[in-house]
Amino acid sequence: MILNACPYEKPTTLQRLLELNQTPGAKLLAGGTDLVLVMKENKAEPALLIDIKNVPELHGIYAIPGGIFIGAAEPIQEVVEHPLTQVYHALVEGAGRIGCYEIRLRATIGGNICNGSPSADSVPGLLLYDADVVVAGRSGTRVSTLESFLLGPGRVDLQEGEVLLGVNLKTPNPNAKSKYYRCSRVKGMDLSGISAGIYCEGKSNFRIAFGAAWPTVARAKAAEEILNAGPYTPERLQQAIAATLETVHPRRSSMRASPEYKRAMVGELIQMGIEELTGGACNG
Amino acid sequence: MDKQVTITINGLAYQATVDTTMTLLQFIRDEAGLTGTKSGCENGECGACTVLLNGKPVRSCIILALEADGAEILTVEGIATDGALHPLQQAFIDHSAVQCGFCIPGMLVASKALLGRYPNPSETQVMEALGGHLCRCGGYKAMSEAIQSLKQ
Repeated sequence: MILNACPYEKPTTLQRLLELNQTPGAKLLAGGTDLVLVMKENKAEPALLIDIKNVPELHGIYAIPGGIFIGAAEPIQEVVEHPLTQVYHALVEGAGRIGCYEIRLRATIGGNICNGSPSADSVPGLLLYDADVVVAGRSGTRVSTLESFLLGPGRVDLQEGEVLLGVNLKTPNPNAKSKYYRCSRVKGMDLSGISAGIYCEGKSNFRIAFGAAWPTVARAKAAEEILNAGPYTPERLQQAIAATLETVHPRRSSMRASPEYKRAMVGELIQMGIEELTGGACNG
Repeated sequence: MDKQVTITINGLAYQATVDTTMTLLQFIRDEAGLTGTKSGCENGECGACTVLLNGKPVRSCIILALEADGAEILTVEGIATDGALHPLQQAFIDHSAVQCGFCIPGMLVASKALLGRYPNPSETQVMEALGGHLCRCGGYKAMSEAIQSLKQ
């Protein structure tokens, strides 16, 4: 039950949204699948609730020069179904694992990013394709890498008054393939214990991203460097896994998977993903 | 902080003055007096509060009434027409898909939306559509059979 009422505004222009967002303590409401829960637990008491769903600049999935734009207020299910997103396999698969159909119709891609969850299911896919974020503030619009936007659990690089407009994704290499793997306790509505997005172009240019392995969703850069330094061999794969494990130190208090389980899955997911994408076990 | 909203439920417009403490579920049950839609987990997880908002299934317990201003809502009370059960309701009865019944209002409107998307849903599509609806009595087999009996 939500105990305390607050003012509610539903702006229809970006300019008005940015004006309202100057209010100290204002919170942006998109799908509400996280924020309304937090309000019900009385852990968030916004000074002003700004419903952003009627601002046109935050909507649409459309082609831009060199790629596509996905508006922050687009529902997850739109990202899953839209024809322009289908080439970003790990994004579509990851987004499709969020909640259930009803949740995906409300929850938004911008919400999944800005919530800053280390296990956000849409984010590994976005990172694999080097997504950029488009952020609007009163002094104008800036574009940054999604990687630099993710700061820590629950924290993203939005300055006072700034709003995420959406993400830009580059057109992928025609040989690019990717997959999303999620380990969760049950197949249906659940959150990720650990997840991985794996990307490659044929048998080269491997990219790996993990969810719930580090304080933010992030790329496994050390593993990528080793894998991409020469031909793909079993030895290189083991080196890549070992290099990744040196950086994975999950908290004991992690809620959905033990540290031992997470560490065990790191190697499994890298190996399974690469073997599936490259068409079988490597034979050196 | 109060605002007047108009929410159309099952074809009837309801007006009320609400604030940010009222969910759409509370509006449906307490303002419109339509108690077919159930309050379960209140976290958006169990599916008992599912209604159709502009034709799409949503969790009314985690939507504010203010967000639904101007929307068209369909609840379980609205799926029967002229006193005749909706074919889904009859199919659920024929297949003994109902035990305690608490999840059924949500299941029915979600199933109606499913048949709108896929008139001939596969088993996988049915299970995907019911995946966010918790039934702890008898499971999902009878419901799936009931829905699939309406394939055209």
